Amino acid sequence: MNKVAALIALSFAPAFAGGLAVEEAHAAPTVQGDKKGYHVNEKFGFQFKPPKDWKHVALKQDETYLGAKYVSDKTYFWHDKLTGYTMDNTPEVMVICFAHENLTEETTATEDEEGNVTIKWNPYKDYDDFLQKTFQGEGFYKDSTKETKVGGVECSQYIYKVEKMGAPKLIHTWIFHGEDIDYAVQTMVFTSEYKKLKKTIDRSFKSFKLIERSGESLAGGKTGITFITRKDMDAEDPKERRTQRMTSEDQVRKRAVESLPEDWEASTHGNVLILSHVDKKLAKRFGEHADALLRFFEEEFPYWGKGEYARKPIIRICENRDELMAYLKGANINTYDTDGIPEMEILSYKPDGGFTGKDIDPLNRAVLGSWLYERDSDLYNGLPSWLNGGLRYVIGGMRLDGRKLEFRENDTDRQLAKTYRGKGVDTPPRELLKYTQKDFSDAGGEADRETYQRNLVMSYAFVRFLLSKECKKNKHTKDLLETYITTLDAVTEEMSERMDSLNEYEAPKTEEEEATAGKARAERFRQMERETVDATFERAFGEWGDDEWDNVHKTFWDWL
Amino acid sequence: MMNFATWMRRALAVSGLVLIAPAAQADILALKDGRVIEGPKMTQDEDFVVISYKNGDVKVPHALVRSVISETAGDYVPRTDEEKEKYKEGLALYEDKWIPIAKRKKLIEKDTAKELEQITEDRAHDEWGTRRKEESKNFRWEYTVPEHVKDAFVSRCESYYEIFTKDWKVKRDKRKEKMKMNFFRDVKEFYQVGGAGPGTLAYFMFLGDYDLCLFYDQTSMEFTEMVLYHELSHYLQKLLNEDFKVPHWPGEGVAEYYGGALWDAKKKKMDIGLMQEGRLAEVKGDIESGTRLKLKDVVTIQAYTDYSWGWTLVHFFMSDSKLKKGFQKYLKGLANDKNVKRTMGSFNLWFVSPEESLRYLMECLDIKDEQELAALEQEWYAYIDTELVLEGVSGLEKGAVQAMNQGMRLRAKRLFKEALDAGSESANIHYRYAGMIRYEDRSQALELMRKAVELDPVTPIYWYSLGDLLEDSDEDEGQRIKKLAIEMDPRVERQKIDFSKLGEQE
Repeated sequence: MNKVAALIALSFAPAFAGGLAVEEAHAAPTVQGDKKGYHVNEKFGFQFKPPKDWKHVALKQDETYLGAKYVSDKTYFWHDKLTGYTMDNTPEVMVICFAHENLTEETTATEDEEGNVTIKWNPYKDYDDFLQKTFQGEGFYKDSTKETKVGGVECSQYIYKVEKMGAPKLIHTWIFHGEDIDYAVQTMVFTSEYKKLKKTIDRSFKSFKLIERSGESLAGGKTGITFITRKDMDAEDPKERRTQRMTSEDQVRKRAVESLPEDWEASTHGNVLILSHVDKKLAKRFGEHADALLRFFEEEFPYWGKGEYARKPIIRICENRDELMAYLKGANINTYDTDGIPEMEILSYKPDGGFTGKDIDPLNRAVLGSWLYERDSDLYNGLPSWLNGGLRYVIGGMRLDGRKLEFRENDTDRQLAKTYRGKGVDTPPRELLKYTQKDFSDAGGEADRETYQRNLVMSYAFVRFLLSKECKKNKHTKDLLETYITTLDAVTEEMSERMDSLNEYEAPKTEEEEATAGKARAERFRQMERETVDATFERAFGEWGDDEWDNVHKTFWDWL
Repeated sequence: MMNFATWMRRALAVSGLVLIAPAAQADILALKDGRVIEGPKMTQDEDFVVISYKNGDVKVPHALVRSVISETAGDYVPRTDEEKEKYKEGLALYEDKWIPIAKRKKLIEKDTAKELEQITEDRAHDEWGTRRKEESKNFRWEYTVPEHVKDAFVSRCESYYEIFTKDWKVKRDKRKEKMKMNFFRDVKEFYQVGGAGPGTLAYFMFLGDYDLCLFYDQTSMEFTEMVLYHELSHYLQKLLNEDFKVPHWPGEGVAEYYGGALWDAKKKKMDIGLMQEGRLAEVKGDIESGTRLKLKDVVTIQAYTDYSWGWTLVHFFMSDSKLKKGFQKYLKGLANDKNVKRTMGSFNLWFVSPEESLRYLMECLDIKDEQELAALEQEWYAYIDTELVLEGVSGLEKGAVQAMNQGMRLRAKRLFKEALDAGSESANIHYRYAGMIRYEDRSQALELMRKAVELDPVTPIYWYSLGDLLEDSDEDEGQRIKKLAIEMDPRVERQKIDFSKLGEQE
C-alpha cells in the first residue's frame, strides 16, 4: 500500500439525499457575539477566545452539536522525504458538544405514531466515539492524558498522535466537563509545527469558560414541520410534485438563512439565494452570474423536463478555499464529505484567479447539474458520456460579460479536435452519438486512456458546436440536440420498466447459475445501455442517410 | 485493570500468599488464544472452568484454558480415575509428575502470581500509547498483543525469514534498521491506529525502513499467520533489490504462495506452499462459470485475480523443480538482470513493463514462441484441475467462508454442510452456517448455534445469536441468553451480521 499525498477532491455537485420522513430538528441559530474577541455561544453555554486572526467558519445545517469552528489564517507544509510529496494542513479549532445522560430525553431519537422520527442531535456518544468515526484514512492513538482544572472547570487534556498513513500530526484536545455537557475543544497540527503553535493553542484553550445557557433546546425541539424528502418531491401527481418542491425550497432557504453566522450575509439575485462571506460586490456578481445561467438553461433547453419545477439553488460563497475546505470537513477533522450539505446548496469561494479564471467552472457545472437534475433526474442520470462530459465542460467555461453570457473561447478542445481531424483520428459525430460507456474508451477491445481522451475532446468540441450560433443556421444541425435529448427521454422512459425488471432479484437455483449470475447481470445492463443508445439514434436520425450526415460533419468541421 | 493491579500489589507485598484476596476480588480466566476474562466468580470442576454471570453460567473446557486466577485456583480437583486414586494417597498431578498436594498448591500459587504478573503487564501495554518495543534477530516489534502471542509470532517470523532468504539467496541490508512489525491486539485497534480502511487485513509500507502492520485475530491463529506471511513475503521480495518494484504479478502470487504456510509447533518447523483454499475456491468458481484466465493475461494485466489465479500459477511453477528454477531466475532477474529493460518510476523505484515481464519469463522458462506458451498454459490448467483440490475439513471450511464472502450462497451452503459432515470443529463455521439457514431450517440452525457455543463458550456473539434464535420458541430463555451475552460484552449487539441476507441483491 503506498504512502500517498493527501489529495483533496472537491465536489461541488449537490448531494442528493433521500431519506426518512423526519420531524425537523430545527436548526436554531447559534448565538454568538464578539465580546472582546471571544466567541460566545449562549445555546451551549460557553465562550472562548479563538487564536488571533483565525477565521470563523460557518457550520453545516445538520451539525447541531458543533459549538464553534475557526480556521487558521496560515497553512503549514510537511515534506515527506520518502515519497517526495508535500502535504499541507490549515489548522482548525472546533468545539464539539456532548450531552450527559440526564439530557438524553431531549437529545435522543424518538418516533411518533405517524412514523416521524426526531434524530439525535449529536450522533456521537462521546469524544472517543466521535474521533473514531470521523477520523478516517490515517492512524491515530492516545499518547497522553492529563486530568486537571482550567478556570475552575474539570478538564481532561489529551494528545493524540497521528503516525501512520499520513504526515505525522498531533491532535490536541481539551474536554471541559460542564454540568450537563462535555465540550471538546480540539485542533490538529503537524508534529513538526506543534512546538511553535502550542503557546497559541494553549492560550486559546485556556480562555474557555462556561456561561449561562440561554435555555434553547439543544435538539431544536419538535416544530411540527415535516421534512420534505426526495421521494415526496418525485410524487406521481405533477401538482403534488410542484407543491412539495416549492415547500422544500422555502424550508431549506429559511434554515440556511437562519443558521448563518453573524459575519455572513444573505441576498437574493433573481432566482438565486447567495450566502456570502465575501464583499457585497462579489456576492452580487456571483448571484447575477448564476441567475443568468439559469435563464440560459430555460431558454436553451426548454424541452428538458418541460413543466417541472426546479428548486432554485443556494450558493454559499466562502471567503477562500481554506474556509470552503473547513466547511466541507464539517465535524470530520481530516476527511472531506458533502453528506451534510443539503440539496440545492452549492459551495464556492472567492476565486483566486478572478471571476474569469477556472475557479468558477465548478460553480457553473454545479448549477447546471442542479437544474438538469431538478427538472428530470432520470434523464440526467441516463445521459451518455459524450453529452454529459460535453455539457459540463462547455457550460463550465461560460461567463457573464455585462448582461450577456459568453462561452470561453480559448479552451483547447476546438484546436485539438481540429488536430485529430487533420490526422484522421477524430471520431465523427455520427459515431460519437452511438457510443456506450465502454465504446468511449475502447481501442480494439481493451480500455485505452488515449482513446478515451480523444473521444472526450471530440465530445467537448461537438457540444460546443451544438450550442453555437453556426449550428443554428444549418437545417440538419439546428435541432439535432433537442431531437436527440427528447428522443433519449422517450426511450429511457420505455426502458425504465425493463430496468425495473432487471433490478428484480431472482435467486439462482443452481450453483452454476449462481456463479454466472453476477456476470450475466452486468451483461444485461450493458445490453440495455446498447439498446438505449441504438434506439435513440435510430428513432432520432433513422431517416437520415449519408447525405445528411455528411452535411452535419461538414458544418461541424468547417466550424472547427 | 485497577482492580487486579491493586490486588497484584497487595499479593506481592504479602509474599506467597497470593490467594488471600479481598472479598470483592475479580477472578481472571486467561485462555490459550490470548483472551482474558475478568470479573465474574469462577469455579472449576472436572471438565470445565465455570464462569458465573448474573444471567447464567458459562462453561469453558479446560482444553481452552491457559490459567485461572481465583480464590480457588490452587484447589486441586482430580479428574481421572488415576488422579482420584493418587489423591487418596495425598498426591496431585503437576506437569506430568506426582507430587504432594501441599507442594502442588505452593507451585500453583507461584505460577498464578507469575501469570497474574504477566496478565497485568500485558494489560498495562494493551493500548498503543503504552505499547511494548522489542527486537528479535531480524525484526523490530511494537505490539499490544499479549507477550506469549508475540513470542509465538517471533519464532514463526524468524523461521520464515530463514526459509525464504535461504530459498531465494537474499538477505537484509544490515546497515538499515530492521523492519518494524506493528502487531495490534485486535482489528479495531488496527483500523484506528494503523489507519487501514475497512476490509484491509494487513499492510506493508515498502518505503524507508519498512513497516508492516497487522492485527491478531483471537478466533483464528491460522488466519493471522496466513495474513502475516503474505505481507512478510512482500518485504522479503523487496530484499531481491530494494530499488525495484516487483510487479503486481508475480508479487501477489508469491505472497499468496508463502501465505499458505503453517508453523508446526511440535517440530518447530514451517511448512510452506500449502493450499490456499479461499483462493482456490475463487478460481474453481471462475472455471465453473466458464472463465479461465490466460497465462499471458495473468503476467501482463494487473488485476485482483493476481491473488487467486496468480497464486495458482506460482504454485504450478514452484511444484516442479525445472519450472521452479526458471521462475526463481525470472523473479530475481526482473529485479537485477542487466538484460531486463527497466524504467524509473514513482518513489525512485525501478519498474518493468508488462511486456518485458512476459518476455523475460518466457526466456527464463525457455519458452520460445506462442505455441509453447499455449502448451505451458494447458499444463497449468491441468495442474489446477488435478493437483489443486479443496480437501480436508480446513479446505472445505475456507472454501465455504470464501463463497459466502463472494455472495455465492448456494455454494457456501453446500461447502458448509460438507465441512460439517467431514467433522468440522470450528465454532465459527457452525455459527456462520447457522446464520445462513436460520430462516430455512430453524431447528438445524439452533442445533448448530448450540454447538458453536459449546465449542467456543467465550465468544459473546455466539451466545447472542443463540438467544436470538431461541426467542421465537422460548422467549424467556432466549432473552436470558441475550442478556448473558450482553454481560459478557456490552457492545455485542454491534457485532450482529445477518448471514441469511449475504449475497442477496436488492
